[in-house]
Amino acid sequence: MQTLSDPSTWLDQYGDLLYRHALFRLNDPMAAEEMVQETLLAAWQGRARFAGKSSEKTWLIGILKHKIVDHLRKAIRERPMDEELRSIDELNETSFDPRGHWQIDVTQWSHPDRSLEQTQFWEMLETCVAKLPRRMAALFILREIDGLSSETICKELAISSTNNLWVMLSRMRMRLRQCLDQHWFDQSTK
Amino acid sequence: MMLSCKEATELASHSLDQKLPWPQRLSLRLHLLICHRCRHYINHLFFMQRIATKIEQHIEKGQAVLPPQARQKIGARLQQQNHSS
Repeated sequence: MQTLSDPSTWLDQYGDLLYRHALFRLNDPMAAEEMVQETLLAAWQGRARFAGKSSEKTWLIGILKHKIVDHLRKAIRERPMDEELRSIDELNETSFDPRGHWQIDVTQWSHPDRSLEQTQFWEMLETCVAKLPRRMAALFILREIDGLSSETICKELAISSTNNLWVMLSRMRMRLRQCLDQHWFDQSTK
Repeated sequence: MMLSCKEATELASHSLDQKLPWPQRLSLRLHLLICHRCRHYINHLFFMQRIATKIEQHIEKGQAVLPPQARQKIGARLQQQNHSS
């Protein structure tokens, strides 16, 4: 059974940690600061509800993630979808010929597991996620990291059907793959 | 009916989210048998899915710090709430 430390020490203990999570998820320093504040306020107010089943740190990050989903819901619903889809379609057009055959080479990645031990690899991955259009980045985070269900993601990100979601996920993965390929694997094989 | 590579990449992605109905599963498998690019592609997808679950521990080790001004502002706000509650 875990107990909470003095809430007045949370900012010092977890401020940077929460900020890093928020910044990665939102790619927006101002919004990330806001999320840290909202999280600490909510945690302080709701500390009686801490059940002690997880560590304090995990509990705080859980609250932060909820705050971020709320923020994404509002921010993303206001953004038109067309623009994002168009920029992703361009990638499809350069990857495939009109009959749907590859017109770029797709090669084996050499020793991908070795990359995992390199700090630069993770920094590059972060950069690639940051370069995705906002809705795509949110898809990566909610689906691949948090593992939320299709239904929940459609609801939160205002995607009209699970069919559309699958199309968008496929395009997001294609885009991310291309970024990793260009900025990491292409170089490490040469 | 043969899948195009474009269709195969979509099915490959879809298969990460849901178990495909058997006809689609079969046509994807057949396509992968003959198409090395799509075979590499689906392996890349598997790899990306695996690393996604590890990224957060690297985020935590990152360099970013809460800017001092924001830290001050948040500290003051917390104090304020503490006094009013």
